[in-house]
Amino acid sequence: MKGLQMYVKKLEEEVRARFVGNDEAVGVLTLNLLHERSTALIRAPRGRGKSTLMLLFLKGIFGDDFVVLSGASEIKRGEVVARLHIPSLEREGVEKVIWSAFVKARGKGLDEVNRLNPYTASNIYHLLQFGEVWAYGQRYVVGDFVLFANENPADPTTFVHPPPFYDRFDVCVRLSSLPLSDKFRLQELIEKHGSLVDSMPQVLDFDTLREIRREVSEVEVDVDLLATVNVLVRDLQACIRDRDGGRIKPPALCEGCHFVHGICSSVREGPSERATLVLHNLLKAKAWLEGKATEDDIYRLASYVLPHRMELVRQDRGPEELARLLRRQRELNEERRARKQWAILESLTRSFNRELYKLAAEIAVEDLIFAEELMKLEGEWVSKGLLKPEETLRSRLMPDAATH
Amino acid sequence: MANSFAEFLKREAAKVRARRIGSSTFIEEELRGERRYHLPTDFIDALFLRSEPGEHVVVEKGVLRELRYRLDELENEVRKLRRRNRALEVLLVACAVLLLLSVMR
Repeated sequence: MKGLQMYVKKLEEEVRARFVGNDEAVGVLTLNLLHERSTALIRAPRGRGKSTLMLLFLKGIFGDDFVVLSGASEIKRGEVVARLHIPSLEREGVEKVIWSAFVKARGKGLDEVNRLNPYTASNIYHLLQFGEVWAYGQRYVVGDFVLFANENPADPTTFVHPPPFYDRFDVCVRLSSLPLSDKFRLQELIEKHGSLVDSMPQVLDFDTLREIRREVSEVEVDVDLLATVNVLVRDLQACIRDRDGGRIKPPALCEGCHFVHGICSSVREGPSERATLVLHNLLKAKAWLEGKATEDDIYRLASYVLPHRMELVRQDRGPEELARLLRRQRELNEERRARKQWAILESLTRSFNRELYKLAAEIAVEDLIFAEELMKLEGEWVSKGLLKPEETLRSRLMPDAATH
Repeated sequence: MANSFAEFLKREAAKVRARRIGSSTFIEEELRGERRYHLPTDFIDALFLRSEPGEHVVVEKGVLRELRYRLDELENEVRKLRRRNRALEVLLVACAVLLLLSVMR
């Protein structure tokens, strides 16, 4: 194994040596560190080790040089963003801004993010969105950083943050409680180390991590894997009745829809484009760290990238509902491959062939995202007189839109 | 079209065996396995294909209307058949009586 990979593996090992159970969550959090301005959210009920896991990672990278804000305490604007230097203001009338330690720190932690008041949360939202903060008319560019946050959504003092706030977190991991044997292991570890966090060594520094991030950003992901990612996210976003544009959502919106049996009817709010970017980054990281990334990795990682940035019709079923949709998505992709539909689309992009078009139209009535691509091509064929408007798939699936 | 999308389509096309006879193109499809996972709206499948329904079954208004219509139609049919059945019963009894009378003579 190459030098830089060793650092990351060592970090993961040291965290695993102190954090019992939830192995997959630790692996995903490690992979997520390997791209710029990484943000991770750890969700769990009380006492599952959310804060411990966050601190273990921060300590492993930054030693003691990181800043954690606690949502449980009353945080003032000066602690989150900046405050004015009072002597300068009083003596010289100059507004000198002192940026907070949290803004300047490369290693950032947010404990109990669900308890942050909306004002503080919006400051952090801006930081995550643009990589900068504003105070008293001045701007501070934050640059590269590592941010870990944790929350207990069942906490009675929870503020309900808007979905776009959670969308800024690259991944969201849930921690499960420990099986019997792991409880024994945890007791042994605590007896051995005393404080698990204090015993965590600093394994790498931020400059090394930046070098790793630079290498990871140069990794090229196979186009087949990229296609699987894009198809997955599009399947969860697409709606022929413009779900995002109206107030009526599935399942009510799906009444009488041709695609009612599609995956789209199980999704109330689809994921944003950030989902594709994050999955792409994680695949790069996986390929860099372990030498390869596979289709299995996409579906495994998707269960950490999607849950906090979309809403399912049966949200009450918890993570199992998303897992079920992902299994269904895999099956859909197998069907797409068997139908050779992408090859048909490729042939149609080169030249119009009526027989092939008929076959493609038959496939499209079963597959919304294929229909979208086919409808894009139809416009050109209609303008060239190769196809009549009333023959198009658009006129069959979207009769109202076709008349405009 | 994005380059990587075009590359993906080309790769998929390269995996396919297509034959061209005259102006027709023949593409061999692969066998598709049976679906293992079903979505929650499979009410009709549960009803007609006897597949196992999920814990909660969502029914669209349209399907419900359709089912109600079909039930009404079936009930009308049953009512009609019952009337016909009764008429046949009366006819049968009359025939039996006539037969009995003819035998007695």
